Amino acid sequence: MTQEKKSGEIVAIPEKDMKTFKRGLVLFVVYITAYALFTIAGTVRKEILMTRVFDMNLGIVGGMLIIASAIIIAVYYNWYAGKVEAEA
Amino acid sequence: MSYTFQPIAFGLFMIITALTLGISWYAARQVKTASHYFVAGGGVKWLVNGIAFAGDYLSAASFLGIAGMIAFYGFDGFLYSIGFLAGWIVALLLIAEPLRRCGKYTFCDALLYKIEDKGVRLAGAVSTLVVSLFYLIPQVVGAGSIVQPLLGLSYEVGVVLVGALVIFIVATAGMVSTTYVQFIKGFLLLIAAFMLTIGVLWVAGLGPVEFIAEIIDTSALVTPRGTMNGALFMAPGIKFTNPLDFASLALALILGTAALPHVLIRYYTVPTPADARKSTVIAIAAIGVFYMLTLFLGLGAMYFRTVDPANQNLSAPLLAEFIGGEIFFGIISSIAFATILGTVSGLIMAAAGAIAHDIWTVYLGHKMSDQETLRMTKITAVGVGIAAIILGIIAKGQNVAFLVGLAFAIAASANLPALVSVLFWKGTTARGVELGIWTGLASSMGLIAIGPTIMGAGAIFPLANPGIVSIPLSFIVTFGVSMAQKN
Repeated sequence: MTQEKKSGEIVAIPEKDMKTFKRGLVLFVVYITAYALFTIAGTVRKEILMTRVFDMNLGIVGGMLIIASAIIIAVYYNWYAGKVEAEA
Repeated sequence: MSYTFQPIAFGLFMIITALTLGISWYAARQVKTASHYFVAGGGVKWLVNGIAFAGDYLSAASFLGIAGMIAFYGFDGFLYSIGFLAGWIVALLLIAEPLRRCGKYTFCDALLYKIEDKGVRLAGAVSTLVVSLFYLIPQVVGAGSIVQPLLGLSYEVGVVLVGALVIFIVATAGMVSTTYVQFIKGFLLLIAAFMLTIGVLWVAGLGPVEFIAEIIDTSALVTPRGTMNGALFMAPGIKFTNPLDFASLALALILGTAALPHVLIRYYTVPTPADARKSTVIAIAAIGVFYMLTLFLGLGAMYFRTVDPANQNLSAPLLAEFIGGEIFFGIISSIAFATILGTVSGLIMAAAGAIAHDIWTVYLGHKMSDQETLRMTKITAVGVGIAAIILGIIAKGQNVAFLVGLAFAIAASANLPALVSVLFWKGTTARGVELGIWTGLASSMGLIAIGPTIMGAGAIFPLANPGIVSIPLSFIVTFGVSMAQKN
């Protein structure tokens, strides 16, 4: 049994937050692309991740960079969202 | 490996456990309504919630399981650290703020913010229950593993002990207590990981880069699984011999976080969507730093050979004993135990909410007062706790990070397609969501059942993690059914 409610948006992003959401989508695509490339390399070209970089290998350095970039993206996104909220 | 009773470690364990129970007892006095019980009244500060997120997420799998996985499988274990954190980007950029706008108590509330549909309510509640139970198993396995060397008790006694303590916590104070336990524990865990990492590098007499370089450069590296080339140990392929297993796990980890019911309900504990976002950022920073450190914990355990060949999950506590003796071992093990108490509490909260709120109250239509709802939820929590104890005893000996990886695959398959389509696509229909959830649940669990985890060498499905098949399948069904209905 389905019952339509009167209130609520179908797409849960209010118009005033769309600018922030779109910026988030761009960051999401960038991050996912990096993660996907890392995963594909580990899946089909393992030797790439064995390449020596900074005395370690690309797998370890790449993994650390993916973790660090998640933190940087999170801090930047929060700063951007706060700025947009303040302007509004 | 045999273990004996260690009095100092036992004393520290008692202090930390008593502190955890004391917080629960104190917090229980604030619980007056169902809203207080389920979501702490929606009044938790974002900083507290962020660290509590980290406390929830850095479960036995992270502290015990990943360290053990890296000690035994090198780089393939580190993949868990990378993937577990990557999932938080999905949570931050896509889920956090919209979910806070739409939900009330449970995962189903967010799915049904636009329409009320009994089929979706039931599917979402069952999915919450299944994912929570799958996530509970590794936690109690971790508890049983820890109690053995810490108290000299058997694995089974450890599982029963943690089950009883958690039932007490959840049945008294709910989300208020769980939040503050996780907040304190999250801080303790970060400090413990820092101390252990510094200890590893100090005892090895090497800097962080030199330490990793030495392992890679060792041509005959002695690992718990035999002697091998260090460069191979630090490259993909030791655990995931089938390359698609690597990809399947990576997919499940990145999409699973934002679909875990006990993570999702924590978004309802803060006052506004902006607070949900800020608390996610705090969580990402805390969890990210912790996962970088897990590499040194795991490699440290391998380097100093502080591993129990029969139990990968003890690598971090045994490393602590090697570095700092019984006191450090007691501190690390007690924090790990508190970690498990907190995480299990959150999981039982999510499962009990699904049964009491979604199925009993809404789906079956039992009208209850706030007090009756609270009583019903607490009774349910006791039942879920007992189920967790039984399942934990059955799953003895499994690596907890691996088991959590399976829970992520089920969550990503059953919950994420439904959540994403409801939040972002106008064409979503109730039947599309309902069938998508059932498809994700059935396919992920079915593939686990016929895969190597259950069937061993005679497996019909070759991958240990089903995500690469079950997640796209659930998305296809959700969108396909919705589009067919619209047409």
